[in-house]
Amino acid sequence: MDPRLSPDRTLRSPDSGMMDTSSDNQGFAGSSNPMDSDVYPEQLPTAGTPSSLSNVTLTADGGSTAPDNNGNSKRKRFVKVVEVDAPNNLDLDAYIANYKGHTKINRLEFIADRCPSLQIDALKAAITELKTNQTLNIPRYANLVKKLNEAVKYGAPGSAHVSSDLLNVDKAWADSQLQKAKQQTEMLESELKNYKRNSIKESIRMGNVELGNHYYACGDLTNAHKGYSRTRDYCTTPKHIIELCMNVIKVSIELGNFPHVLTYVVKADSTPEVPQDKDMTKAKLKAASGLANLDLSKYSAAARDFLSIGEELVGHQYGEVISANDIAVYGGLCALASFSRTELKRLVIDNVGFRQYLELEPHIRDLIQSFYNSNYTVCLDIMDKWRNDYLLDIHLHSHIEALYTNIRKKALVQFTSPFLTVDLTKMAKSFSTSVPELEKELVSLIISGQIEARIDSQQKILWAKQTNKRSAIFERSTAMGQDYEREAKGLVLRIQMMNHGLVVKGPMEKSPGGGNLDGGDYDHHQRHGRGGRGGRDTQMFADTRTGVSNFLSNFTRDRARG
Amino acid sequence: MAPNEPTLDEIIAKIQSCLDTATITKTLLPFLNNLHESVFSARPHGQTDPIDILSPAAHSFAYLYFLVYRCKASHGFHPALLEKVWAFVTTCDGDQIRAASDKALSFAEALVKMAMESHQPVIAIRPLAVFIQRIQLSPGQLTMIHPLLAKTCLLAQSFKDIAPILDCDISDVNPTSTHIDYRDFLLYHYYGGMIYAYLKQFERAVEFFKLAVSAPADVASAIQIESYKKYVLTSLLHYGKVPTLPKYTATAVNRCLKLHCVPYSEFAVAYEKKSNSAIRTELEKHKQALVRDRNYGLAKQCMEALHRRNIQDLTRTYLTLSIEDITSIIGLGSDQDGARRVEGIIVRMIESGDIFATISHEHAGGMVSFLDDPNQHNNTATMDKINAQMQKATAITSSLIAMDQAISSMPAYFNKGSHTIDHPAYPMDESDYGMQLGYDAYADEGSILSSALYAD
Repeated sequence: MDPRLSPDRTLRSPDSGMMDTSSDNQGFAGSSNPMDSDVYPEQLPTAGTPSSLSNVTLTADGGSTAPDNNGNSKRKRFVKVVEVDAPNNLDLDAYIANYKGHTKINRLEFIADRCPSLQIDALKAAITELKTNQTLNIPRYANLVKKLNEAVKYGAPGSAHVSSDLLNVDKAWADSQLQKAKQQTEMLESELKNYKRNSIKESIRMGNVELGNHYYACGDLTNAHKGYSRTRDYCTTPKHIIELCMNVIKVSIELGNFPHVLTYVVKADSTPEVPQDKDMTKAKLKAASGLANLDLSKYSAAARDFLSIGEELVGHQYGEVISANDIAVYGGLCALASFSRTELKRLVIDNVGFRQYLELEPHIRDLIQSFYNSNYTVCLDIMDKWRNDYLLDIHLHSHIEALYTNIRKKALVQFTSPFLTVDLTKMAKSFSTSVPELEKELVSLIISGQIEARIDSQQKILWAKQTNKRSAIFERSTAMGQDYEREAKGLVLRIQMMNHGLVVKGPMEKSPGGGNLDGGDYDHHQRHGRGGRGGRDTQMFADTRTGVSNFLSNFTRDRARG
Repeated sequence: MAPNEPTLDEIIAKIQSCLDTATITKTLLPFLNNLHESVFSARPHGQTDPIDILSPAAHSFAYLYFLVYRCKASHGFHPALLEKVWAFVTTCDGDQIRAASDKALSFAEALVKMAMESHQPVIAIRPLAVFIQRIQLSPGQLTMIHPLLAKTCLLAQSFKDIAPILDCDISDVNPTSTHIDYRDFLLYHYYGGMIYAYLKQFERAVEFFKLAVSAPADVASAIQIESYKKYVLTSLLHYGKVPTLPKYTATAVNRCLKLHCVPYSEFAVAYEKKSNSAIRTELEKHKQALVRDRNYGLAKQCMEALHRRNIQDLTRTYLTLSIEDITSIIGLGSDQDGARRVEGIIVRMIESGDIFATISHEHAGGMVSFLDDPNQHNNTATMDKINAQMQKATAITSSLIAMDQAISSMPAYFNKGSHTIDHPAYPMDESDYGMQLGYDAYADEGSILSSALYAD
């Protein structure tokens, strides 16, 4: 099977293919490597992303214009490949310098996969990073080199400046690293066994943590997660618990298992007597839960998390997960998409802690300011300019569309609220859209009750609805009066019927002489529940049954009375 | 004729001697019941017809006996007999008739039978309608004639005479004086609902079907099931959704409805979503069931009503909209035919006061301007309406209070109340009690055991 057929996985964590490859695997790219059979490495299927990304080209362009037949057929199968043009503002070096650890490589690879113009640079940076850090994750290294080779082969921009030592796998180094990884795994495992034999709690915990760390370094996230989780039974102090939580959160974010992140955030939060660097831990937990909420599309909760981080992470202290710039961007966008005006003022604009982050990303600050000041042209302009950049963000890319729509909707609602009449052509201009499109958006907002207005589609004017409260009250009260009358009458009638025994009963009690056409057989259980009746009843019961079917077909009536 | 049978003259004399209700029930009732029916149906030759001697007003009781058998014996339509029937129903004495309510029912049935045999069910309607008003104690009383009349009207498709009767809500049921049982109640409301549906007064129809469905019941009646089916469709027609049934709807009925009305509930769910295509597929899917229940026509009307409802929704969103746009929005296709249909629908809606709008043909295709409800509720009409409603409400409330007081002072109520307080949960029998206890103890032990097991 083509590994691209499971696109979600490949997107969530770009190295998910690698996790399955055992760290001992000498074959550089196992069959589970997503890029193995890929002719266009920059084309990643994105099933989770909305297809309507407007300024994203859906076909390959730039460097990768050497299609062969095979490639063509593949491209057809994945029409919705999201490929991002050169981002407008992204400075790759500056951007990536804010991160450390795995997320750095993950982000670089993510960008390389999606953006042809930055592909070579990103891959180069990633490979250099791996090598300088003496990574133990050799399969990943090999994979990146392979990607770089492919990119150069298809002449991606900047391929002329790729030095040959990056293009070739440094075999000797790789082998030694693999050897090292293997040895260390064995050593740590035997040590752990030893600790277990001696059953010293703290040693076992340390052993598990070390093993987890090692697996994490090797890129084997599932085993790392296992290792970290095992320490749970050996935690003795709150500090240990926090350590456990932080480790599990780190791995879970990388695995894309965000519900798990939330549970561990809660666990860490509820741990009493948090150790010395309390504020830092708290901030990190907030950031993690913000990411999780963002991933689960709970934008309001995510915004609240990001906004309450405080000043602790301004210096990219949580760089292995999130940079300070990200906090500004994620928090700002989520807040715009989900907060009301007063909330925006109180929680974002007047938020001293968050202001520090906003200084790092001035355009987000401008965006929020212009939105708050109802300067929607500027606001939408900024959003548009930065869209491509955010599409290259590993966490934000699949939410950009939803966030942007929400912000837009809120902008529309705010725009119309102070006016009695709004000229649709002018409004369309300030929202840089066409009148029919705007009309459609407005209609959906009116129907959902977010805008109280009506559209004059002939003259293209939006009229605020003049609800006559007095009339509405009159109508409501008459309707209520009618309901009351009806219900009370029904009640009186019902009591009378009960009083006089006008209750629908099984036909047996009433008139056993056949010709009884009602009910009865509709209620097997009740009849049998009364119990104690013999075969004679069964016979009569059958008679009634046929009677009922007759009855159903032609409501003729036969009264057995007299 | 048996020798000890009284002669006709004696009978007449006897009848003429009994003029007040007390003597009628005491002496005349057994006397007439003992007579052979040929006495009433025979038309003696040469002599004057006994029925002509009697006055329908003074001797209503006996007159009814004669009429019952005359009508039964008559096959087909006789103008002379009909004249007598008419004279009888317009002048008869309600008290005397109520004394023989079973005979009154036979009379009505015979009349209907006679009308049916002459293939003119319509001739029975007016006499029955008048007859009902004669024998009712109050306008809201349900009589045994009600369902019969409703059914006859349905068969004759003539609703002019029954309309005032239907419009008067049933507020009094008394099986002892009017000879009715629960089936009369259910059938009357079922037929009544059908009549209202036919007259397109869907709000009343829903009301009637609801009364039938929510009638007190130990087991569900087929009439209730059928009523519910029509209840679903008429509610969709009128409200666009199915209001929940009253809380007091019998559980047995509710259970049956879930079992037997699956196509209807599925259709309703699709309808409430207002999606044209989904409703259409549901309609096709359940067409067979609907046709079998003879409800397909109503379901098709629901489709029409959907367009109206959608247009009504548009009035909330738009001030002006071209007919073309309306057509495409409500999904009637964009061809010329669709536009004409839409215009027709809009015109009818404007006429019926469902929407307030004007259509202008200045622009190609026509432009609809939706207006607000011109009624500003600042006129005397509104005042009167509110006042009338308030009076009704207070009247009902006071009658409810009176009823509540009557119930709370009833000895039966006290007995029942004190009974349940005395023995809230204990079994009546001593031995039962012991068994219960033993069982409970056993059960407790078991639960303890099992919990212990799980704990390990």
